[in-house]
Formats: sequence, C-alpha cells, structure tokens
Amino acid sequence: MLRTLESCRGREHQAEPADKLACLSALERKVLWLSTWMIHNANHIRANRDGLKVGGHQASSASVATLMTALYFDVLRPQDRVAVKPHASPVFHAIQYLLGHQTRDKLERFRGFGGTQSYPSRTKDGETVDFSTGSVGLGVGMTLFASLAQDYLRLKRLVRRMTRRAA
Amino acid sequence: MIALAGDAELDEGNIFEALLEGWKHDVRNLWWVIDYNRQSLDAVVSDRLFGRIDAMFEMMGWRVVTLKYGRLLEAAFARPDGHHLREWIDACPNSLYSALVYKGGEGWREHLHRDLNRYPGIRAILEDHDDTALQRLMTNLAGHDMDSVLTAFHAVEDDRPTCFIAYTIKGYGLPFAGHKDNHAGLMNLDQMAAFRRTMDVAEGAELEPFAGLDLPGGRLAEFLKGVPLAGSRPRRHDAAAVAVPSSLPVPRGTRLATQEAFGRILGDIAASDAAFAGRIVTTSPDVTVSTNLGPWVNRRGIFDRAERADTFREEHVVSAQRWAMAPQGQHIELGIAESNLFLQLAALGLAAPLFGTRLLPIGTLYDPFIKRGQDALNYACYQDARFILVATPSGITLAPEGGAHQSIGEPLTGLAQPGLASFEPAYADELAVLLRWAFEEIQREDGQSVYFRLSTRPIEQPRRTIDPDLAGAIVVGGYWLREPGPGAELAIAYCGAVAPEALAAYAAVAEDIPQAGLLAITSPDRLHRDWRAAQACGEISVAGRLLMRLQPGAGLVTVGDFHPATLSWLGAVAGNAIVPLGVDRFGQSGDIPDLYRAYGIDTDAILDAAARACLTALRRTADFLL
Repeated sequence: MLRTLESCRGREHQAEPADKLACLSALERKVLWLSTWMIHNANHIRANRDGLKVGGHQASSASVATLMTALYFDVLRPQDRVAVKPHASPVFHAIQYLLGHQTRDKLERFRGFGGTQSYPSRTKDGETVDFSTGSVGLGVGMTLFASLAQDYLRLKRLVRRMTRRAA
Repeated sequence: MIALAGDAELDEGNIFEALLEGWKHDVRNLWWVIDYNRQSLDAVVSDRLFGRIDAMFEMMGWRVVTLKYGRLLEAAFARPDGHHLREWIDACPNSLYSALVYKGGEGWREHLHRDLNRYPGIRAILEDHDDTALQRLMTNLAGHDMDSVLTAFHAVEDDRPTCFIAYTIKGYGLPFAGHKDNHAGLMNLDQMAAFRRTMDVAEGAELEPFAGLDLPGGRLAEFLKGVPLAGSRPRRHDAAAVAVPSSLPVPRGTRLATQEAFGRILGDIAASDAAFAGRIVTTSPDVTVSTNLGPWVNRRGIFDRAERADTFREEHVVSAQRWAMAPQGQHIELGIAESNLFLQLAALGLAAPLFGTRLLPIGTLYDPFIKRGQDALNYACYQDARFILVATPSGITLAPEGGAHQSIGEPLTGLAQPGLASFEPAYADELAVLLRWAFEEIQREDGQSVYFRLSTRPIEQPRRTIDPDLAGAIVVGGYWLREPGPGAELAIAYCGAVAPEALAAYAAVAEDIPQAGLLAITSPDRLHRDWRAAQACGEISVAGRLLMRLQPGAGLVTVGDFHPATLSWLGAVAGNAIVPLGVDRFGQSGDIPDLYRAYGIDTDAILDAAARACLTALRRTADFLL
C-alpha cells in the first residue's frame, strides 16, 4: 500500500525538546501579533479612500495560531500540500513572512490592491499557496480530490515518489 | 494533503459529498484539521453537533483524533477532585464557556465557586490560581497547547485519513476572546493598545520579526532556518507539455450529433497508441454513458486502486459497456454530485504544478447541472486549474427531457466566467478542430480551461474538408458558412444545434435577398472577448471584420438554443439592425419541432425575425435620408 510522508512521522517522535517548544511558543506569539496587526493596520492606520470597512478576521485567525505555527514551523514537509481556512489568511501570510517568503510591503497592503489577499490565493499570493480558499468548504474538499489525483498518478508510476522528511 | 478547516465549514454540503466519494475511492494521505472554536459567523455552533461529526468521520473510515484539553488542564484534572472540574467543563454549554472566556478569571471563579465549592480539591485549585492564572488554566484547550498539538500530529503513523478535532477559542489571546460578536469584529484602538502592551511591541516595531519575544532574535532566526519549509525550494513543479497530434479524426457520417461526435473522437483516441492518450483522464458524476464517454471507458477502463473484474462480462451478460477497474484505468467514476466533479477536475487540472506531471482532464455532465456545481467551477477557474468540460445534452434541444433539464443561461456563464473559453459547435468537423485546440490551450502558460456545450440532436453534416484558414476561424469563434454578397442587406447568425433551421431560413431568404449571408458562430464567448480586447486597443474585432462584409446598418438575426443575450450584443459591434432569437422561459417536454416553434427558434421564427430586421434597417435608412 502506498505510504507517504505521514507514515513515518510517528516513529521518529520523542518528547519535544524544551528548546524547540520555547522557540515554537515564541513564534506562535509573533504569528498572533502579526496577523492581528496586519488587520488592524489595514483597517485603522492605512488611508481609507472609500469609506468601506476593509475587514479581516482577527478572532478567527487567533484560534488557529497555535495549530498553524505547529504545522508550518515543525510538522509540514516540503511535499505536503495545504488548504488553509479562508479566514486564517493573515496567519498564513504572517507565517510566510517569518519564513522569508512574504514581503513587509505586502503585509502592509493586506486586502489592498497588489497586497496579500483576503483569502489565500494561488494566483495572487503566488508560490506558497497550494490551494486557493475562500468559498467556505471548497478548499477542504479540494484536498480530498487532490489526494485522489496524486494516487491516480502514483499508481500509474507517472510521478516519482516524494522524498521523505528533510534531514 | 492537509486542510485546515473552520468548524462552521462542516455546514457546507460539499464536504459531505466529498467524504462519501473519498470513502468509495479509499482515499489516503489526508488530514483535515478542524479548528473547533464553537463559534460560527453569527452564533455559537450547536453543542450537540460535534458528537455527530466525529461519528460521521469514523463511519467513513477516518481516524478521529480529538484534541480537547491542554497540559495544564490535564494536570489540574489529576489533582484530588480534579475529575469534578473535567465533568464541569464537559457539561458546560458552548455559549456559557465562550461567555466566561470573555469575562476572564473572575467569571470562572464565580461559576466554579457556585457549582463546585463543596469539593476541597476544587477549592484548593481556586486558591492556587489568581484570576490571570485561572483564565490561563480554563482556556488551556489542546488546540492552544503547543505540546499537545505536536504530540497529536507526530503520533500519526500511517496513511489513513485523519480528522483532528482541535478545541480552540475564537480570538484566543485577544481582548475579545470568546465573545460571540467577534467573527468579523475588529479590535478597537483601546483593545489594540492593551494587546500591544501584552505583546511588548514598541511603536514602529510592529513588523519586526522578533520584537517583544522572550528569546533572542538570533536564536529564533537560527531555528527558522532549520524549519523544513524554510529556504527557496520551489513548491510548484514545471511539467513538459504533452504533444498533441496535428489533427484529430473527424467521425464519418452524414447525420451526427455533436455529443456522438465527441464520443467517437475520444473513442478513436482511446484506440490509438498516441502518447498523449495516456495523459487524458476522464471523469463524470454518474453520467458517463449518457454523455457518451462509453467508447473511451470501454477501451481505457475505470481507475481503481485494485484490479476488479467486470462481473457482467464474467457472467457472459451481454452489455455495450465493458467496465473493468484497475490502477491503470483512465476514467474516474464519481457519484452524482457536481461539486465533486469540479473539485476533481480542479485537482487533476493542477497536476502539473502540484505533482510535476501534466494530465489532460475531461469532465462530462449535463449542461443544466453546471449550475449545480457552479461555485466549484468558479473555484477551479480561480486557481487556474486546466481541464476540458463537456456539457451535454443541452438547451431545449434535449426535447422530451422537459423543462427541469433544459439549460438556458449556461452560455452566459461561458461568456462571463474568467479562465474558461466556451464553444458551441454545430458540426462534428468543427468539434474535431476545437477539441484538438483545447488539448493545447489547457497546457499553454497563459491558456485556460475549455467548455464545450454539445447536443444530442443528429443533424446533416456539411461535406467539406477543413483548411487551415477555416480551422483558424472555427477556433476564433465564427465564419461565413454562406458568404454574403456585395452590399448585403441581411445576415443570419446561428450557433449550435439550430443550424438546420438557420440553413432552411437562409435558403428561403436567399430567394428574395440573394446577397444575404449565413454566419456560423462556434463561440459567442471568444468573439465577445476579442471584441472587448480590440476596442481597448482601437483595432477592428473579429466580429467587426465579419460584419463589415454587410452593408452598413444591415439587418442581422441571431439564433441559438440559449438565452438571446448570448448573441444580442453583436448588434452593437457594427450597428446592425439586430433581432436576437433564443429561449428566455422555462422549457417543457415536447419534440424539437414543437419546442422550437413554441420558443421562437424554428425556421418560421427566423424568417419573421429576418423580415423585422430588414424593416428596421430600411426605416433607419429612411430616417437618415429624411
């Protein structure tokens, strides 16, 4: 049977070293700050020309800060493909910023023209977004069908086996 | 594949349609992490719901991992009388829990004191914790406990699909945590100032990566460098284009429907050893046979993880369908759920960037049911997935099927949907040209997906060979099937299965107006896009060049088995006196002659329209002269 990245994770797991936990907790705190600030900046600080509320979901972002910090800074491997819940877009952008994949300028233009998108977008936010999300439920379903597509290719030997976890 | 989902997302029906399909196909390597913050957009999610949700995932063969209590709470539960605290939380309604999260330590103390003060162990816990510590303890759900989260993720050892239900608090760590109005609510300036003090971030240092953290920035920068997702390793693959033959075989026959032609062209490809045939994958939501994918599936088989014989065949039951299943199969059979079709097409259509191998996906469904899955179609196009959509049968031309199955507005969807070129050819030879083009278009860097609206109506085929000029015109969207003469005062423009009515009307008109022309339109969408683009750069559009062959202001009748707005814009291109025909009411059962007459797209209706168009053109000329 096909086994992939997920299959080998458990065996290597030992108690999380205190140092790693400390780093991840500090980054989680920063992710929470950055995502909250990004929305605040867009709504309260950036010039508003049209009187429309810019919006953004601070509370819905805060609830996944721990989960996404754990995933993106420890659990995920380069071959994993992810759909992030639409309202957590600021958390995603904050994480990419800390990883050096997102610019400060675009964070400041969150929900603005040419800035980071309200909901993660493959075509507008670029390389780091595997699946666009936005229409509630579709990104979730998409991962299931992408998994079927991947197995369709693997079983036909049309794709190389993905490499295992980074050393 | 990993999805991070909000709990309210599980109210969307497409999730359940997908789950069922996943079970049928024995989906693997899938994690859904549910952010269970128990608050949806407007309110607090029903308490009883999640008892049902985990049971449902288990029923579908998933592992369910519930992350409920963090390490602090677990430690408190282990203290004397601690189990009373657990029971109290377990019984606490979501709405009360959320309200107490918002109120903080004082609120928790009041309720715990009232309900559990008779237990010495609980009194001790309350004494040990000041309000801040009590809030920290009572909000220590596992979804906010880094150690618990890591342990849960790292504990998964196999490829069984896994649903993590992570208890979280909406707005955790923010001043309005737990409040039911917080969904799209923004922190006000005072709340932000307080939050800034908690986070220890100075003015001007808001976007400094490590400002206000307990650990030195250098150590965190070092840590980040070691993260597997760090660095500039590309996440998207390039995949070489799959070469497409220079032409596809045109099915023989004097009378053919475009749906039949589609099935036969694909059947011929299936029978060939052309390399590109190996990259075609078809999928259909339980309408494989009725959309004429049968010839393809008979030769190429159905995809399945395991070899499964065709029982009917083994039992020597005669059937036109040979449906063996195997990993080598090139058709993915789906249940009748259009949302799944479009998500499957989206996934197959992203195979190149996601997995480094290009696929040429083709999905088939009945034209009216595009609307059933239209948000998912839009979603697929929004992420630039590339596929071919074959929608058939279509329009009122599927006659006896009746109004519920008769599509009217789908060509307007084709016109308006970015990332999707749409075509409605009338003849088999046009379809062969277009299908070949589509296989290339979906692979082009700046290409798009392609939608074909086909018909089950057999019609007389033209006897001709298609030269490169004609092939080019078919792709661009239109050509003169009968060229207009000099100073032509009238043209009839048709699209799709109404070609015989247009030809008959043209023959009758030509007796009186020998200069009249007959314009074949293969794609209202492509002509419209070209017209808009040409206007933007001050050039003459394809439609403009075609209509320039007529006398200025000449009459123009457009006709198709779709909403008349699909082609009525043609009147604005060169100022023709236009009479657009089409269907703008619900259909009903009937045969084609009755229905075409009732809805005004038969030969008589075209002739009436032609007379009106000529009259309007004449009046305009007269007004001008007067």
